Amino acid sequence: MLFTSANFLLFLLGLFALYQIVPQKYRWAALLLGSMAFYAFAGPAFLIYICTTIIVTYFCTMRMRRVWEKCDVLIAATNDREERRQLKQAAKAASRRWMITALVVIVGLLAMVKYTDFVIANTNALLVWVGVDRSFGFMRFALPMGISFYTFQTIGYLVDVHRQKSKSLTNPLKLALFVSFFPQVVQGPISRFEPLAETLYSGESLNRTHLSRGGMRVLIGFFKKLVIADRLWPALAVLTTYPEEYRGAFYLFSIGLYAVILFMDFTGGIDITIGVAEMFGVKLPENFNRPFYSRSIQEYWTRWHITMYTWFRDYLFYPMTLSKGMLRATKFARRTLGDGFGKRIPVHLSLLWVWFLTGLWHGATWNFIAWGLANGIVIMLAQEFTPLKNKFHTRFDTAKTNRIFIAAQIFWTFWLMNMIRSFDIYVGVRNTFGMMASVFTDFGLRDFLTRGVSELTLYTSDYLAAGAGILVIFWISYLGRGDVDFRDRLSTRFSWPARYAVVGLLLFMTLVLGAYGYDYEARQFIYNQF
Amino acid sequence: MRKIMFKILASITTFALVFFALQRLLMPTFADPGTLEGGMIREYYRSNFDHDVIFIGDCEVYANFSPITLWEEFGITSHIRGTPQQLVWQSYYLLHDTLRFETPRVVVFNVLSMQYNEPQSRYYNRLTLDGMRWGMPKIRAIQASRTDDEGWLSYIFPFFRYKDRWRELSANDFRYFLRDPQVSINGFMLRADTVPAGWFPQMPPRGNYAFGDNAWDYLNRMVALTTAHDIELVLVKSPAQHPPWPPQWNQQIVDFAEANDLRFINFLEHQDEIGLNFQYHTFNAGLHLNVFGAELLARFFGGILQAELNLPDRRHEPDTAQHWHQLSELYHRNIARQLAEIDRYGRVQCFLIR
Repeated sequence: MLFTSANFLLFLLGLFALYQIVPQKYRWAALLLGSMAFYAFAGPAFLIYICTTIIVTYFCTMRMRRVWEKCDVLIAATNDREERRQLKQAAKAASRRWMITALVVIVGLLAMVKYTDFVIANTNALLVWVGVDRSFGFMRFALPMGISFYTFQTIGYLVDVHRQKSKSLTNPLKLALFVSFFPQVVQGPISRFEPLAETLYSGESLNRTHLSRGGMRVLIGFFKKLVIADRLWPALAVLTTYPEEYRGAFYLFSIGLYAVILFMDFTGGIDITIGVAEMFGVKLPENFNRPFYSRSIQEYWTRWHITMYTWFRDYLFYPMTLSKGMLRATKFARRTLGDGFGKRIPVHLSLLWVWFLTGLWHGATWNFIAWGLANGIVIMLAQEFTPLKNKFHTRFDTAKTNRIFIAAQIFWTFWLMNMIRSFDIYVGVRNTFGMMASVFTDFGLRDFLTRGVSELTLYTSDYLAAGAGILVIFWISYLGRGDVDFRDRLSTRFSWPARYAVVGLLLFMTLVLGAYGYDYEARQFIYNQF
Repeated sequence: MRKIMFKILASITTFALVFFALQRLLMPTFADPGTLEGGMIREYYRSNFDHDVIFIGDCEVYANFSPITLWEEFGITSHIRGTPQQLVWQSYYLLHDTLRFETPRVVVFNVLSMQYNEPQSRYYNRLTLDGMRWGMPKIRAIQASRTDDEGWLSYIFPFFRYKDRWRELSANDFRYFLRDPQVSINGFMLRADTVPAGWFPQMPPRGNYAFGDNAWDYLNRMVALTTAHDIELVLVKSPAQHPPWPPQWNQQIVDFAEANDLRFINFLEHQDEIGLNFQYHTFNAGLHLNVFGAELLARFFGGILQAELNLPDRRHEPDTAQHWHQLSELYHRNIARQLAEIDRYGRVQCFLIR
């Protein structure tokens, strides 16, 4: 059920009614019922996967809970510090076993449906390369909706329970709601258990503040998706389907266009997600913080898909960097390569490994792996050049506050990220590199100017509509500057008729200029495929 | 609390006003050539609901029978409820709709649409259905006609069907924002221009010429409805060079008419008696009659209506005569205007009734 479909709006209305009728104590159950119905709508068979994840996670976390409870009882019964330490270690080991058991199952499920064919394709290619006349058939598993997102969210919960940062849930249905909460199961954000649990199970009544604030957020999501992203998409489809036709300057136009489309599509989807949750009084974490204002790639990744970035950082990068093996490797590197570079080698290795996995998480293709590694390499290089950068800033200490310098940094970061994102939109790593090279070998500015963008299936009116939409979003983004929620600034700066006029403008622009209904193909959100 | 209620009411009212204003603006005005047919169904509701004869069917009725000739020469009052490719079930529900307002003595149904057994085109659907007044006939007509990609919501709020018209808004859309242009005279599309008959491809042979069950079902319903209201149902096949009307189709209608004791007139067999010449009496190469052809056909058919169905001459009724006199004046004024435009510009500049 697409967020931007009439079915979803009807589903929401029904769920609002059910939620409000049910006593506060059981409202979370209404949300669970809605979430399961929403999930079943994508394909009842997919429920098997998500239910397996829930059941296995519940069983293992309950065992972990019992392990820690037993440990607490035994520790309370002894005064011997050494014995306490041993008891804790034993409990930790037992808890880890249960965590690993659960991880094997749920990550195994993800790997099975998402990566089996990728492995088979590469194995077949390898067999051909070594001259073996044998190939394996593809399994062609259907990808369950949101499996990458709910799997990661569940892993986070398992690790937090193991680390005793979270208490495990004793009610399996509440765990089911945490894993399957319908607004976020499609494309995140990837929530942590403790902050989400504060509002997820509270069963707060629907009220005017939540409905109006959440509704406003949903409206902006619809606006971004329908007025801008989906209206511009056909042009991008032409540009990337026939890459040999559109090289050089057209390539730059393509990656710029993709940046706009991806931003509007993904942030639009997240706006709808957060807005819908907010209407039910549930607070989800923010996933974006005006990423196109980033002045470096490191900063960009603290502003774009924040919950994914922090998930990889907290559950993969830190544990890996601080693991015994990596610490031993650090010692070895320092001994052989010296204190400076040698000390950083293991960090870089962890970084590359994490970015490799980030790419793989996005999709089972070499393009996504290349995308991930490109990010890792650029971040690694940026870290290596930090001393040089510091020297520059010491020499030119006003640069940091110089507007032109800042604009240049933002411009550079924007286009660097666009180049890296090329791997998302072109088929084949070699082909993508070829497109990048075409900027230098086959720029074709005259060709771009004479053919223009009119042959890309869109009318001038489409570009004008999307352009007007971008200006509106830019203005909203400007209202949200300085970590202030744009809705707060809107309500403090504008009188109510002006506020309502803004809402009306957004609503009618979406209704009239939105790419939906006749002659438009309803398009999934880009991140739904992950 | 009062302030909140005021805000909510003000917002809802403003939203509704803007929404309906936008809908009104974005809905086609049907004022431009090629789209006029979309405005014909709604014009029925502006008539005086006093008609002896109601024509229902596709383009072969709204272009081919002149209600003014029927009045001027026979004193018969009539209205045409026809649209392009109007399907049998749409004709049936339009008849149902008509019976909410009046009970004519005769209903004339053009049988060409019997060839269609399923919904065909969302574009033609809209030309027929958008102009209908809301009521059970319209709801059922929509149910029967919807193509797979048509949602209910777009029928309730045509805004969703036409929202993309923002990019093609013309001066006419603003000119007719508050009032609809008149596109017909009693459902008759007046065309005084002539494009002589041309060549049309032969109909390829078919394996099966039998009309579909759905089409038969609605024709049977039409018979039942007219019988129940004591209305004479006349089946006709209007004269045209194209589309073809093969003998296998004709025979099925002949048999049906016999079995149901109905009158079926195939005008294709009477073209010489009528005096039709497709070098002069068609505005689009033989597909439809122009006003001069339509007058000839109405003259021929009026004789049948009066002689065989005993329809009275109502020219002596003062109110009726006054009403039809005005229509007649409008009719002749527009023929003269169109001819003058052809004379001056080589073609008709405006097909609206003015």
